[in-house]
Amino acid sequence: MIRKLFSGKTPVRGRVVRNAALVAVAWASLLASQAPLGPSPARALASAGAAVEVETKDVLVFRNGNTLEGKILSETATQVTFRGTSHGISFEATYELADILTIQRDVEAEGSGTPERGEVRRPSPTETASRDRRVSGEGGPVVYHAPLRGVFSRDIALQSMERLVRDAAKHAPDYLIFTLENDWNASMAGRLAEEELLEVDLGPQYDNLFLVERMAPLLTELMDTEWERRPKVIFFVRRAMGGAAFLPFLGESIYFHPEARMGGIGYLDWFEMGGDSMVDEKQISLRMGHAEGLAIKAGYDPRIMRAMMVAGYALSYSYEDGRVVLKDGTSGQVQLTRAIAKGERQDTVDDFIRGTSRDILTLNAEIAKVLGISKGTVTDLDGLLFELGIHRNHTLIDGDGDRILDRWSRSVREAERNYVRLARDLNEVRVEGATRRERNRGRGQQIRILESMRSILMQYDGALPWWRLPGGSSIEAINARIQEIRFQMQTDQ
Amino acid sequence: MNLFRDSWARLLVLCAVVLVSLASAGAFAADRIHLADGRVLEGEVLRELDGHIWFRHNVGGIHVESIFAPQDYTRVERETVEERPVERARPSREAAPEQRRVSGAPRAAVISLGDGQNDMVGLYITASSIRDIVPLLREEEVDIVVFRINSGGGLLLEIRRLTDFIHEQLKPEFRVVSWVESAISAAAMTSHVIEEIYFMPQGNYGAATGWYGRGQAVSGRGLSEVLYMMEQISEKGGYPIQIMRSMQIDEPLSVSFDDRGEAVWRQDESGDHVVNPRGRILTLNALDAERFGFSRGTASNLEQLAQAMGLQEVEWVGEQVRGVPYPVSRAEAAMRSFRDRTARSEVRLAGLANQYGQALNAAQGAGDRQARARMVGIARRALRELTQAVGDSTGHMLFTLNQPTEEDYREWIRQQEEFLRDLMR
Repeated sequence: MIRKLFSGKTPVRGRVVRNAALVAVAWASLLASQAPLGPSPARALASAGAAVEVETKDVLVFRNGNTLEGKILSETATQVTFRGTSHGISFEATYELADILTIQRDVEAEGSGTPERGEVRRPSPTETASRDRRVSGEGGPVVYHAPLRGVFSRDIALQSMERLVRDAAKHAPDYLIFTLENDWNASMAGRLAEEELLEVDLGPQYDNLFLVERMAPLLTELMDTEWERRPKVIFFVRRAMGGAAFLPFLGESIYFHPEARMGGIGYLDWFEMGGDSMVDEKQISLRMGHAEGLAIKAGYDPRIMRAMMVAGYALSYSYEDGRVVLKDGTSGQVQLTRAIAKGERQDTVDDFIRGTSRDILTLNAEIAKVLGISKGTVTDLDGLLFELGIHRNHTLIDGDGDRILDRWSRSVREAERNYVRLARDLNEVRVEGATRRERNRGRGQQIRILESMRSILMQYDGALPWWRLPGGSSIEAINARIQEIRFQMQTDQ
Repeated sequence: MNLFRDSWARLLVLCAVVLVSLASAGAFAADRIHLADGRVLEGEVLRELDGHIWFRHNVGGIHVESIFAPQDYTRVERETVEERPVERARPSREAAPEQRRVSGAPRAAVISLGDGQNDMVGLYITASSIRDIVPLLREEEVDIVVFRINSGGGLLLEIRRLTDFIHEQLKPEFRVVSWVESAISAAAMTSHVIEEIYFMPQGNYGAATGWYGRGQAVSGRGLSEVLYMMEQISEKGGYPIQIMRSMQIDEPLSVSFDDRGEAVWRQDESGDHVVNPRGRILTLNALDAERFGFSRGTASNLEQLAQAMGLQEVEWVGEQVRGVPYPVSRAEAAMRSFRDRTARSEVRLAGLANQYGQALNAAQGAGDRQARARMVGIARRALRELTQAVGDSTGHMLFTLNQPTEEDYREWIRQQEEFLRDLMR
């Protein structure tokens, strides 16, 4: 017995504005038309090149969730005329008050004001929710952008992914873009010795596959049934190393940053349980089956996944009739990986850190493009939007994802602190006293603390590994401890 | 709707049991319901709806009818289907008018076997849990049962029960289909009895090597028995025995296609395509499964599945439920409810086993007879509750008490009772 440890056409709703002279007018009119859900603004005026200087600013929060920042020029009982800046171009427009949820007046302006066109705003956690949300563009396809950063499985966790996707669903985007840049480096492990580093960073990465499988329905099947229409899910990879390397396979397409790396999994075939080799083979086989399934579902050759995971597998490719043809072994013109025997690692730590390993496949932008994993290499979100053909004509919803991820990460850290504090408090509870009642009071306190610890572990399942926490205990161990204390309460005389 | 049903049924349970004084005495079928509080009631299951059970039983010589919500019971034991009168086996369809056939299209229900988390064969996937949903499948006039499998495996012991039930009870009545998200080990061995297997694109199937302890492979007579069992199951499912063998042990596997395009499997590497090289254990992915004719197709959703199954028309039975990518029939709801209950009882059993162990230790260390008697009393109560809660679940026997077979479990109970008696001598 085993137990797991466990497309189509791009929707274009607006017109593409090519003539620079028309840009300003279009920005203003389309921006206005996309902001409220109701009728278009009564009037839209453009004054290209006239910068808006704002010491303080007014913020319009529309009922559809969009916000605009600038200055209110005039108001009537039913309308408000507003001057703002979008992507460096100022505009004037009149909006129906019925479409506006709230008006924030004379909000102190910060920094350089509104972002430049195409700028991806990365708000600080202290900014307000309304200012976190940024709507840019001119009413073309809706693009929801969310960053995925931090430690995979802790910050980029099932729970945070679920929150991001649920938030995105509210905007019914045409594109859901994740910029993936997970923390993955030597200092994370906090060790210096080579072997220790490799053991920690390489050993268990493949089992994060199962976490990615748990995330998969959010971006695949459930979109078919729970979303009004399925968006294109795109991963923009800046760094997808270790377990995070499985994540982009959930997307419809992948784009790479020029310096991106995706991989660092490896050495699945070195798996050992300490028993019979056939049982090890079983464990390797089932994991490979799961991993290959991810690649197949995403439309890629499963051999690429095998090369990323198995050190004993060599993969190469040749160009045949202008096409890249993968070859098992080393018969191809270009060697991707070499097959190495168990325990005979040839890659150096330097290879490992730089992503130039040949024991296992780590994809860089060039290789990923050649193999068809990456659809293109872009330096930023603007470049990606350009590649998608929606650079001049899109509505970008950005910032909410940042806030959601920040909040989740803070809550995980807070939960971690709380857990450690509770573990410490538990040790300080004294079960003493002359009477059974006095002693049971202490025991009752112990049980309450243990229940709080258990509740934290359940809430942060997968994101908060108890074995890494000082004083950490598994849920099972906590249950047993509670039982033990209850028994003591029962039998104390 | 479901909320209403839940509240209503719970209210009925909370208020009282309904007296059925006019019911004839002694006419009960021999059904047993295991309640969450450890009690086991004998009587007759009158009706089931969304996991709620209308149960007639005897209290102090008076027939009463109680309604139990899913959280109120852990398990239901029934007479076998053959022993029931036909009217009982196929409950009146008037009871569920909303589920009646509205078109001539075949009606299909997706039944999940495992959800990737609660997925252990023998614990969360059992013959009895499938047997329990059959009446609901009938009520819902289901023609096609699609088992959506997502399991990492489980108990060897349950495989025979599952495959026998599917082969002997389900197949004659329904078109049974396996739709594989992940079928590893015991899950693959179970699915192997089903002729129609479809993969999801991410699907995987195999890695059926039996093991125990810290990675010791099943060997000797035990292995021979499992190999033989899987030969029989392969035959029932219509698969060449070589395929499963390569999933179980170190046997190479290759395939060639004859002039008629039919696959010829070999237990060596001499075929045109090496499916599994020597020294490896086979797990098939969706591409290879379809390419080599093991699966009948690959489908990522119900529309594709229906197409792969050759269905011009199909009515998928059930309602859309948030978080579930297919309609949830009442039978599927019952299956999900079963898994939830089992997960809860796992926690409870672990607590009881813990309590029993502590009481036993305390009894052994007790200085005087009176203190020992008190601890033995606590241990006896814990043991009694434990055995009631375990019932005949082999999964619980193994995972809670580390007893691999029912015989081992019975022997363990006997030893414990004897030990407790000795403590009091």
